[in-house]
Amino acid sequence: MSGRGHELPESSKIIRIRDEGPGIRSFDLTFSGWEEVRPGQMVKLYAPGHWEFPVSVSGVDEGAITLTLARVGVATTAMFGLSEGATVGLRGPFGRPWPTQLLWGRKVLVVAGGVGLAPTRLLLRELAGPGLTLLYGARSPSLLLFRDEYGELVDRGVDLRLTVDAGDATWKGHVGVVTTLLDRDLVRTRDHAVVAGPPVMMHFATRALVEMGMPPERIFVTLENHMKCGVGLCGHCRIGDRYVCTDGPVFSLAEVFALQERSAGNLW
Amino acid sequence: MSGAKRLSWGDLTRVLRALEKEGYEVLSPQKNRWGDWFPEPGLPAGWPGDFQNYAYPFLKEAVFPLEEPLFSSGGTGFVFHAAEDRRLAFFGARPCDAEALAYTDLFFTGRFFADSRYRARRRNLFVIAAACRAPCPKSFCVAAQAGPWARKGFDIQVYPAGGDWLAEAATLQGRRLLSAYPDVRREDLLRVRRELEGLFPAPGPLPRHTVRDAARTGWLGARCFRCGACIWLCPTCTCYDQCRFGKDGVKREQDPCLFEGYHRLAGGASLRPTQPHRMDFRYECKFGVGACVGCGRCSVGCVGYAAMEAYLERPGSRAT
Repeated sequence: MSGRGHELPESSKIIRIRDEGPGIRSFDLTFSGWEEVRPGQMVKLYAPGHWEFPVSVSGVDEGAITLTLARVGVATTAMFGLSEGATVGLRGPFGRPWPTQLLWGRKVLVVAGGVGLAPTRLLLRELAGPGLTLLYGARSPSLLLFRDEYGELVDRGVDLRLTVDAGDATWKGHVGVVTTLLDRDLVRTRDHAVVAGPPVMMHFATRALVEMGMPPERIFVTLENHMKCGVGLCGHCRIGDRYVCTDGPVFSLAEVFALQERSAGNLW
Repeated sequence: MSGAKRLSWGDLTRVLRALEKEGYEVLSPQKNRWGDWFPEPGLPAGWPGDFQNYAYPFLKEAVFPLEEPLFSSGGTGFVFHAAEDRRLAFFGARPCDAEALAYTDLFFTGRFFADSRYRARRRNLFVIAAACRAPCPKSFCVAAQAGPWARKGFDIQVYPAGGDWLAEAATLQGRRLLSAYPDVRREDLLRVRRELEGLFPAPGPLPRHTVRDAARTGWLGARCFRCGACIWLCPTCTCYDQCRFGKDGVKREQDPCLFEGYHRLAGGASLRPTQPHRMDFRYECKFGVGACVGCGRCSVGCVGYAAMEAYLERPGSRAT
C-alpha cells in the first residue's frame, strides 16, 4: 500500500497521455506502489479540484501505472483537461484481482466490450499464448482500444476476434455486438471465461456463456463500476453482507448469482 | 462476585470528576428551555428522571461526524486531516446507543481497512451507559437485544437500584474507576436486570429481511418522502460519500441510501432505480446484516410512516 496506508493519496505525475479513441485516453502515472498491482485491481485517482474515483489499472511499468479513462463525468472531464507533467493523487492498489494462478496454463476465453478491455489488459499480457482467445467488441472501429498491441497478441498465439457494432469504410471485419462472436463449439473447448465491459454487455455475455454450457463457477467478471471508496467503508458497493471493493471487484459468476439472491436492484 | 459495584449518586459524581481530572469533558443529559435533551458539559445535580433518550444519535456523531475533511493537496503533496484530539465522556448514554457504538466499532475498525479518524475519536471516548426504566416511543430495543441494558459498547454501565446505582465495567479503564467501591453479588445484578426487563413489553422476534418482498418494499417505497431523516437519526448508519472540500481537498459526508444519487454510477445508470429497490437495500442492511438496535428514532422522525415501525407492521395494514 502506498502513501499514508490506505487513507492518503501520494502525489503522482502524469508522464504520458495517449488518445485511445474518441473520448478515451490512457494516462501513464508515476506510482510507488506499481509492484503491488495485480491484474484486475484498481486504484483511487484524485482529480485535482474534484474528488477521488476508482479506476482499474490497465498497465504497469517500472515506477508507473497506466489508467485508461472514458470521459463520462465531471472528474474524468477534469482529467482530460490535464497535460503531461501535471500532478494528481493515487492510492491503492485495492481489490481482489483476476485469478491469474487459476487461469495460467488453461484454455481461457476473454470477452471484453468497449473500455472493458482496460481491466483485462494486464491479464491478457500474463496469459497471452495459444490457449487464450480474446473476443473484443466496440461500438465503432475508432473505439477499439490498444490497437497497436493486437499484433503482439496474435504473434504470441492468441486467437483474437474483433467486432464492432457499426463499421465504417475502413472496417473489413465482423459487425455485430460481441456476443455474436460466441458459439457453442468455442465455449465448449474453453476451461474458463473472463468477462468485462458495460453492464448490458456483461448481462448478455454471461447469459450466453451459461446457455452454451460454461459453468458459472468458471466464469469470472468484474463489478468494478459499483465501487466508490475502495476500502469497504462508504457502503455504496455493499451487496448483502459483501463489499465489491474488498470482496471483489472480481467475482465468479456463481458468486454473483449468490449475491443476486441478496441484492435489491441491478447488479449489472 | 459479579464484578459489579454499588455506588451512591455521590460516588457516581466522584467517578465523573475523576474522568474530568483525566482530561475528559464530561457530557450529561440536560434539557433546554424548549424541552429538548442535549449532551451538555457539566455534572448533573441528580439523575434526570424524565430523560428517555436524545432525539439525535450524539454518540455516533462523536466518532463519525456528519461531514469531515479527509485530505487536501498542498504544494509538495497531500495533507492528511486528522481527527480532533478531544476526550469526551458521555454520562447517561442509552443502551441502544452503546450497542450501536459496538456495531460501528466493528464496522470502522474491525474489518478490512481500519478508519484512523474513527479509531482516534473512539479511543478518546468514554461511555457511561445508563440502563433504561421505560421504553422510548416506537422503540423495540428488547427485540433487537439492545435494551433495556447494554451487552456491549460501554466502559461503565449503571443500573438504578433503589436509591443507589449498580455499576458494571466492560473495560480496564472502567474497572479501574470502579475499583474503590463495594462489590455486589451477581444475583443482585441479575435481579435488577430482570426487573428492568419486566418494565418493557415482551418482544416478538424481529423479521429476517428477504429481498424482493415487493408487497412490503413497494408499500414502504410509495410512502417514503426521500428526506433522509431516518438515516441521519440512525445510530448505525455509516454510509458516506466523498466530495470536494474547499479548492483542492476531499471531504466525506454521510450519504443516505434512500437518495437516488447514492446508487447512481458513473455514466448515469442506477443500480437501484426505484424507491422500493432502495428500501430493500436499507432494510437488508438493518435486518439482514443486523445493524438495527431498535431505538425507534427513525420512526419518530419519519414524516411518511415508512420507517422501522411501518416495516414491522404487516404491509397494507394501513389504507394510505
